[in-house]
Amino acid sequence: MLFNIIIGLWVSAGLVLGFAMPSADNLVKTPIAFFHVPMAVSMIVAFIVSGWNGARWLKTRDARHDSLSLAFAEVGTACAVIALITGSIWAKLNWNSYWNWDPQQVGIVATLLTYAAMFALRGATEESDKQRDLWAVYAIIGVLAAIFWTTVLRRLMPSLHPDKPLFESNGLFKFALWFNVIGYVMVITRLAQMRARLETALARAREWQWEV
Amino acid sequence: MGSLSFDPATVPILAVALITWGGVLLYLVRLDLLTRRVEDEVRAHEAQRAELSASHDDVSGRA
Repeated sequence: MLFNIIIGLWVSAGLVLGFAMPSADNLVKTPIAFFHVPMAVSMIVAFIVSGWNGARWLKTRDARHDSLSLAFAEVGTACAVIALITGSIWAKLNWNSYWNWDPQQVGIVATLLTYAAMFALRGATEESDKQRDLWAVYAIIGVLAAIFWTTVLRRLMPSLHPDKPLFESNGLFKFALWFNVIGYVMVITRLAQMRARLETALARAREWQWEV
Repeated sequence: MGSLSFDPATVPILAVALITWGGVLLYLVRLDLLTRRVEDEVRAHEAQRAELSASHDDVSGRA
């Protein structure tokens, strides 16, 4: 409960801070910046934790790691959808169009399609341990794909996305941005933990069903 | 370096954002409590099954 209270206060303070910030260099002022960027960072964090837990499942065969891997992948996908929507709104403000075929926009859609395919493949396998093994491999490959689509692709092609204004602006910007990133990472961690705990409880209930 | 200030036009949006976040947080807390309850029930059920299984083994051993 204490963690929930900390999350509540932290994110509320982050929202207020985002609305009070002055505009970044060469960008239209919008509080969406302090929601969109943390969501994109949270997405990558969630996918990395998903891949890590996939590797932990392969090593330990502890079903909790598989549950966590799946949960973080789901929450990361939700973050990707939010980052895409808020990014389109911000793109409209800055570049006068919701969709600009920018490598970052294309990359996040490619990431979403990658994870959609992974969820479909997981659902296509019935047998439990085989499903978990395959998922672990997908989760590890998935995070590599996500890193390529969202951080490497934009450096290979010309992008409208500014590289530095937010992360390398003045100290106040960096503080507001990282404050919000930490807040939303705490939120997604809480959500994924709950999802994994429910999945573990469900797996135990299924075991009773088979025993009866 | 600019300083912190609120644009009066965005204050209502901030209010809506905070209210929305409050709703999301309340739902998160509710889900957390529900998850704890499900886990407690699963643990209680497992303990009951272990107890039944032990008493069954005991009866089988005597027979």
